[in-house]
Amino acid sequence: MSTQRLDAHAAALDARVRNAVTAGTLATHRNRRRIFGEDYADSDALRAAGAAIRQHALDHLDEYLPAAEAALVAHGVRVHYARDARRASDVVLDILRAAGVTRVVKAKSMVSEEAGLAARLAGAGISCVESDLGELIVQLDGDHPSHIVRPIIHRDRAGIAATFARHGLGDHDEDPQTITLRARRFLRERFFSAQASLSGANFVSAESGRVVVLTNEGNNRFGAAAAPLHVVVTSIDKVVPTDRDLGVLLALLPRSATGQRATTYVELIGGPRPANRPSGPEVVQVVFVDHFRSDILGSEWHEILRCIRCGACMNACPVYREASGHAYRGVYPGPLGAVMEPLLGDAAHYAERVDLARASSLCGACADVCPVQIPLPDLLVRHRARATRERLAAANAATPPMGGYAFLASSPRLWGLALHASRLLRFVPLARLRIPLLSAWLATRTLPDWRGGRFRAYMRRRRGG
Amino acid sequence: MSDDRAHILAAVAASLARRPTRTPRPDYDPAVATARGRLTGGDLLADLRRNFEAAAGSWLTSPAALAGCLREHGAHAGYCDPALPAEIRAALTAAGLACAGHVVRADIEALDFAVTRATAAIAETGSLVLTDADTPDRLTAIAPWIHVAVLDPATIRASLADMLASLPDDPNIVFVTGPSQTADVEGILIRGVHGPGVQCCLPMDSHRSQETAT
Repeated sequence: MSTQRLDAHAAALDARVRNAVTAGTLATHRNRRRIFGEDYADSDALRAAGAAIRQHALDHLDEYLPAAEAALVAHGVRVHYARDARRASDVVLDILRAAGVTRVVKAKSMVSEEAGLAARLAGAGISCVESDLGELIVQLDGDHPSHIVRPIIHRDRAGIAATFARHGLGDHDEDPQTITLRARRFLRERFFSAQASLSGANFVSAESGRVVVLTNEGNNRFGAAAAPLHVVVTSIDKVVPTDRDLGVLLALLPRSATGQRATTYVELIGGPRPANRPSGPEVVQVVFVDHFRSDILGSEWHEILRCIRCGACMNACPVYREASGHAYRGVYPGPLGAVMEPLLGDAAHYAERVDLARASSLCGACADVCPVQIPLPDLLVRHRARATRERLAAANAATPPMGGYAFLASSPRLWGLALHASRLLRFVPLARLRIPLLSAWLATRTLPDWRGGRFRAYMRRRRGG
Repeated sequence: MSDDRAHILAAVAASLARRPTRTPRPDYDPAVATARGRLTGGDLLADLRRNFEAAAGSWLTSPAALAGCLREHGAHAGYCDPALPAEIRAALTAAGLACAGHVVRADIEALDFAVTRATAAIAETGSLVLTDADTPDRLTAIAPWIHVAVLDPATIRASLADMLASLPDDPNIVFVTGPSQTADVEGILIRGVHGPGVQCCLPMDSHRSQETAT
């Protein structure tokens, strides 16, 4: 009997990792619920507004994307487009080379993770240091983030201390305060010597062209204050219509992501620094990356583009908690990743990743916490339906054959007959049949007597009487 | 590159054309986002203080209190925006703190603290609003361990929604809510990652400031 790749990953997972992930997600999940309860009598009204703002923006992206571009250009920002992740790396590399840049500090940008940008820059001889503490630790280790908000949720302090010791950031010390201070010292000289800073965008206002970047550490505030060039790499779906709309999204995002009322630093970047100021970028450039977003926009999964990357769905997901983010084999883990990852490539990529849609019991916890009300279980079911339609083997691994059931269930008469006939199963020693799935199940359970068909008879009598 | 632009916009248009309907612009009250219980409906300065302190900010009531706070954190030398009321610098100097009115980039790492003007504040979230217009050098507001924002209470907005409805025209508007922080390591909250470990607010009304300055 074959197993799904995610199950195999979960089964082999180090207990330390599983404990770290379970504890981290549960704590954040509780904080999220507590703060929404404290702050709003009806948080669903706020979520509904967030959902409507995002869906409206996406449904009019043909207007808002050019509007955002025009507003950015009017404020002296250079705007670029990249149709896919590879082109995005090309564009950023061209920008940096043209400016003679060899040292970069980088704040978080999810789409640049999709593009593998940091590695690409390193390959081109440009040093690119991650400035978010978690991202830095992942970078030092040659590891990958396992959560979109808490990249090292899978790591404990002993492992992090070992990483720092290995990379010459001081002797082994597991104190989180010491770890943080060492990262502060390590990044300082890099901030001051960087010739460019990179970041993503949480939102871009089409009305004003303001690029919104949220950090708790202040790493992008520092990076973009110290370097003469700032490059924003973001996907086209981040555009929102107006500055006013940011109010709803800035209320939803920190509460959903970390249980905070406000992220420590909310930066509204509106262009290059004024001529009379010594710090801040003289040049700001924005790269809008498509990378399959325009395809998703017209697909039956279009609601996923509302996502504001809070990570609440993965914190709520019982499968994520058991399997960890790396089980999802991509940039986006959890329910978000299970919907998104198969869509970020061609048909072969889809076939290779769509098994992720099975990594859910469809319990709906993700949809309950989503700040923009993405119907995540529905989107997973649509993947399953397509995978079945297209007979994608990997996606259907470990799924019992349902052909016989489907045949019976599609005819009321056959179904009724089968129910009555199933009473004969009473006389079959099921446990002794060599059906692996069945014997595994019966090893710890007993079945009640088969009484098939009685309910149908009862209903018939009721209707008749 | 312009090729990519045309390609993307055409793909977006084609995808949207396939969709049967488009969601209209939502008609919502911006106040839906305002958290209950954060604003008492009375004194905005008191609301700001409560929410600022809840976000681990240090609230100071006078230049003398500021000097005391800086000494308590072991500060020796810092930067004070010369455009601020002279009594602030006087209080700091009197307490034996070295106070530069101008710093070059090479000296920023040596600063223990910086005092600059906040453009506004948001009472609901306890946030300070910093801009390039009122911050002579962005690095002074992010690099030193202690940052002090001098705030004119007349500039306080009630809610985040109010602030967003009246943003100044500035290339760099930052809402700062408490000290720089992380919980990346096992979810344990640590303050002072890349930015200040201590974020202070000193309210001083502009009327009084002008009197003192002249």
